[in-house]
Amino acid sequence: MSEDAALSIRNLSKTFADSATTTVALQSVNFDVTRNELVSVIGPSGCGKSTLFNIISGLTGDYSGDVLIGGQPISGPHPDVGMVFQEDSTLPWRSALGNVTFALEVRGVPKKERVERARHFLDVVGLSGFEQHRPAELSGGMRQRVAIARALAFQPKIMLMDEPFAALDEQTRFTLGDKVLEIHRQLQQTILLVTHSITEAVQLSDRIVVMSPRPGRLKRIVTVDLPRPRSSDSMKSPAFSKFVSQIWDDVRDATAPVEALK
Amino acid sequence: MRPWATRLRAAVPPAFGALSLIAFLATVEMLLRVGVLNRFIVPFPSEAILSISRLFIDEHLAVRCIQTASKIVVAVVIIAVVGIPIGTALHTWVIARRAYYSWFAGLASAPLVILYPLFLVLLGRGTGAIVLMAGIAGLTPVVLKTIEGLQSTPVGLVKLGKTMQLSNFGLFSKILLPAALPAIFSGLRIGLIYCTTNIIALEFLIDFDGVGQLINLLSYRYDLPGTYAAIAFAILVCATILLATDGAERWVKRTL
Amino acid sequence: MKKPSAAPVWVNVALLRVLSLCVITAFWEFLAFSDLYFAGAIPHVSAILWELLQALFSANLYSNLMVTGQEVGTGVLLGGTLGIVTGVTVGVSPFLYRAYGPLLYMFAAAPKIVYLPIMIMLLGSGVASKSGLGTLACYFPVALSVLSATLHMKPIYRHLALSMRLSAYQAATKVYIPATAPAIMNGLKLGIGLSIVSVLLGETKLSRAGIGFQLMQSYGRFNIAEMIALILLTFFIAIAINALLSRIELRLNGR
Repeated sequence: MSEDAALSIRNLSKTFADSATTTVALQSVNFDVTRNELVSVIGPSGCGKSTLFNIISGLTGDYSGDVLIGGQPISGPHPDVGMVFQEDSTLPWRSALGNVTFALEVRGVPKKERVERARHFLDVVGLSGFEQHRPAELSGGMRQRVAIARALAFQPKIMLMDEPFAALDEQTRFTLGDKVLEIHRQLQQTILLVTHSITEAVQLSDRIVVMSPRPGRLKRIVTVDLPRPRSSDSMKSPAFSKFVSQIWDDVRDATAPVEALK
Repeated sequence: MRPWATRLRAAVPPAFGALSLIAFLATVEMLLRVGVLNRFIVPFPSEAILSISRLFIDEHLAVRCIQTASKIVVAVVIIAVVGIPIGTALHTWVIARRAYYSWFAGLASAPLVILYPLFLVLLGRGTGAIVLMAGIAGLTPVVLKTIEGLQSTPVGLVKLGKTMQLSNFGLFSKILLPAALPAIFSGLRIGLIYCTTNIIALEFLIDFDGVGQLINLLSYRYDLPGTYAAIAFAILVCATILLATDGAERWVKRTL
Repeated sequence: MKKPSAAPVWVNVALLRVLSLCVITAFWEFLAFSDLYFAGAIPHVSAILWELLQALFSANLYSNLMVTGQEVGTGVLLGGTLGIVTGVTVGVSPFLYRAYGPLLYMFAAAPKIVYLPIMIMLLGSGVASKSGLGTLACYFPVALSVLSATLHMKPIYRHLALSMRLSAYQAATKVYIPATAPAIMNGLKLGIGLSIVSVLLGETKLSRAGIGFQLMQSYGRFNIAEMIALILLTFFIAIAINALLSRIELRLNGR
């Protein structure tokens, strides 16, 4: 395990069993996420991405192997991990500000401080002026930004994002992708992003973990050495297209053998 | 996992619930026996359970069940015969629906059963008053659900009927009514439940006959085990009707 | 020649309603004047209105309303609170739902008035037994409504509560109860209605105060006009409360 690893996955395996069948969702997955790094996990449907997310987030137990955060094994949702889910998780009965302060409220942060911090992070995600708006008054993209602000508000060591833009239209995805890049750059936030979008993974990531289909195994880790700062404009470069093509070949080729880690 | 093991595992929560109830009754029994609870206020659960057989023999509980059941049947027939045509009429005549729908919706939330003294005055203390009162209480869900069912007939089916040159009656009997049957059945089910609860309540209040009256009678005699047993029996009757109609409704929705 | 424009729909609806009320009133008056019933059994509308007016200016009505209101209020407060706690606790756990859900449905099915003898034995023949009845009547619809809503709550709320490591109390008060607020309101609407009915019926059966008691006093004196006036007043209050709660429910559903 690297000393700078914020998150370490060691020989992680997960099997689902019921009366009729046994399904191996993950098999011997190993990788680290270094501090300040943005790593994406990508793979075809059924490769275990969501299972991986649920295990790391502490929402699913009963697995073999280790998940270490800051060198310590987890035993449920970790207090230093912020999560952004695929579904809209904003609380409809609270305003945007109320949604962000919620994360601080449950941690016992005093009222004045939590309002200040919430306003700051709503500004970081570009929602200044929308503090008193309820989720029903915000677009899908804005609601996800509220969810991101809420996850950032308590300054987690790691952000976990499970296909955060999957339910949004393409233009909004590009806009939010730029926002995530800005957050990563500004806050030096460690992020693990689960996605099914190859362009999104290449646009945002320092490294991409490519998973093979069921049983979910780590097929390859690709280092994306595109220069930073990046934006959605980076997609115009030939190097970007090359990475996308390479990863598409990997994802499509379901029967390719697992390569040595890069 | 083997099928029998899955079934066994599925039976654990309901068994836990049933055991909790038994444990509660056993605790009450024990507290009564040691004198913590006053047995002149709460009877021994064991005595109450054993009283049920006595209710059948001495208090003619089977006859009372028939008396209550026959009132329920008559009330349900009334709500079906009156409620479905009213609902159909309100569906057909738009102005009438706009005028009266909110009245029926309001009636659904009104405490209709407190009209019973008036019905006692008008019809005397008897079966007629109870059945009519229960019928009025059960009527509104039938009317509202009939309207709902007829209104939610898919437009495509109505168009089909019209292209086949069906008369108004033909359209109603061959398309609208069959399409509305699941909703109408749902209304009848709710109406049946309202009728049942109102009939048992009125039998208790008016002290006439049936299962409800038995609770009244036994409580006046200060027959504590008998009273609790009769109440438990009334709960079982209502719960059985609820379960049976729930199953029937699901069957109707699957079949139609 | 220009065709005369038809009256707006709302005018026709209003006319139909007024006409219906006139027909009902006329039919009632016909029964009152006829010899179909013995004298006084069907009082004239004017007599009913007169009794209503007298009741509205009588201190007796308000003291009885206070008693009934107190019984219903206590029942709704206790029954509603217990119902919310039960609904959230049982709904959040699939095991507890499968263990206790059927029992809740079973006990909810029976008319609550049949519990009156138990309430009287435990709490006496005064206000407490009727409050107990009101509590039971409100408890079940609230518990079942909240139970159903908690069970079918968006899974993301559960994940959110888990991921934020909320305690059971925090999860219940900050997530599950607000998420099920429309269901709580729906359950309370039903519960308040049933509580009013149960309390009134309890008062008609055995009481020394309350609107139900006053109603039975009128019945006992064969003052049918007063009895009908009180019934109409009760209907009006119950429908008004229901309408108010429906508005609140609509606002909660619209968020």
